[in-house]
Amino acid sequence: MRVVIWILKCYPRRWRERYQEEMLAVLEQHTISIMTILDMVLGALDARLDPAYRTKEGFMFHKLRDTRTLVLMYICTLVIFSFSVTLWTMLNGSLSFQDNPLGSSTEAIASTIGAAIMPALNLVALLVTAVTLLINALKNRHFGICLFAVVCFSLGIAGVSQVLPLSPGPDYPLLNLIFAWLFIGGIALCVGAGLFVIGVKGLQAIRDRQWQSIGFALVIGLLFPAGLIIYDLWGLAGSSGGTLRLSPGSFMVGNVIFGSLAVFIAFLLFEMAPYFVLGALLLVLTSRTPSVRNWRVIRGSGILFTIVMAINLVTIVVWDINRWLSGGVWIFNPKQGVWPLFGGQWIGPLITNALILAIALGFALLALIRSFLIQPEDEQPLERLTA
Amino acid sequence: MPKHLPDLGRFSDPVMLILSSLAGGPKHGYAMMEDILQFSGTQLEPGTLYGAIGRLEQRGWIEALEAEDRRRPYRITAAGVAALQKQLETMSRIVSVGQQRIQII
Repeated sequence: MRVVIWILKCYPRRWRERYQEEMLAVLEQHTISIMTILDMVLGALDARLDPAYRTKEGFMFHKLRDTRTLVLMYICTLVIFSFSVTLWTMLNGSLSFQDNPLGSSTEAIASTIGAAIMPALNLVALLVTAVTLLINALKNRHFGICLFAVVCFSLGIAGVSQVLPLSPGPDYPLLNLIFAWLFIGGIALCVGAGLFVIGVKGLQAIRDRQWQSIGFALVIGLLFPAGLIIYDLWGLAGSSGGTLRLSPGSFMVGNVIFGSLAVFIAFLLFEMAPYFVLGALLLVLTSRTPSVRNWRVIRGSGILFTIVMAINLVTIVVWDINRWLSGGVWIFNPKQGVWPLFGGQWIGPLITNALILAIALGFALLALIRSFLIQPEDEQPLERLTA
Repeated sequence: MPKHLPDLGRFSDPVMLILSSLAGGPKHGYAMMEDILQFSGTQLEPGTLYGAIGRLEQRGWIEALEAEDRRRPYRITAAGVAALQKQLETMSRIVSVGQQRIQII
């Protein structure tokens, strides 16, 4: 009976005000089975999707804040997901496209998802925002913003051009060259668009004294690098696996200071580029007047992201269980990391990362379901994005 | 052929069963479940029952009466009777055609 009472709390408030007591009276006389519980869960979902039981101040209060909260939820799940994937991948092996080709290996799938597909989804959402800002700036003759966009994209291109292979050769087949151009070009766009949007929306947030938004964006933006720092520290402690390490004098390499600076920025931003995207998106969406059109684009990305996250969670769990069963069980040792009882496997990924991803997936699913309940207001004029 | 209770989705059949049950007189939720089990062999779960009751009330096909303790009886309205009759006529035609064709086989 406790279970069904708990499930009843999942029904909308208006529904409960009308039918809860009656249903409880029926349940007291009815034999509760698994089918009863499943039926009630379905009923709760159905009632949640029924417009008749929606309230103006429901789960997330005001519609506009509802939209923002929804998108913030997506972004936060993306944060959790990226952090978890980064940390998990680095604990279990290097993150390399060449070393982990797509195939039957679930580790490769999870790595590819974390390294390529997710940033690509971020890039699409971010580019829409950046292009909108730029178009509005041109329409309103805000040439300062246009110039700032040129600087940001130039910086992104200059930064990654140092690592861009220029021509095919015996060591660099054409297909790899094309792939490298696409991938690194995407990074450049990420960096440029991210810097641009962060700059414009960050300035607006400061002007409007949105200290909470700025603080939240900073916290979220710093969470990703924390995953990298943990990995770098682990690398310095002697663990196996490749890493991009920043040596203190790297920005002084070469005769041309700008070139050296670009190399430094390339290495720095290459790692952090996807996270700039998130910080930028966050600032956009917590601003005063988020565009409904942008929200729809982000919702589309959110649907794909939710599917990708579910696939990644399954692959990680399957991979971890497979390794755990084939290798053995570890006990944690503060000095060495873990001691093997028999074989060498990390028990951490199975429990911690699967749990983190499951929580993130739960939030993403909740946000996804909720996104179909929201009826946005009429399209806001695009000019408001730069107001 | 008219649509079978359009826009009710998975509640189409439960709605028919509830209307048929209430056609025999006002009942509260548990009494409806017992009556439906008796005449159709279908065990409606409470989640489905109240999902269907909610939709029937929204359409005005049933109305709630004054609650007795925590039990609230419902009765079918004139609109509900008309809807039930229309659906039963359609189903009756289907039954008739089906029976004729089975005899031919």
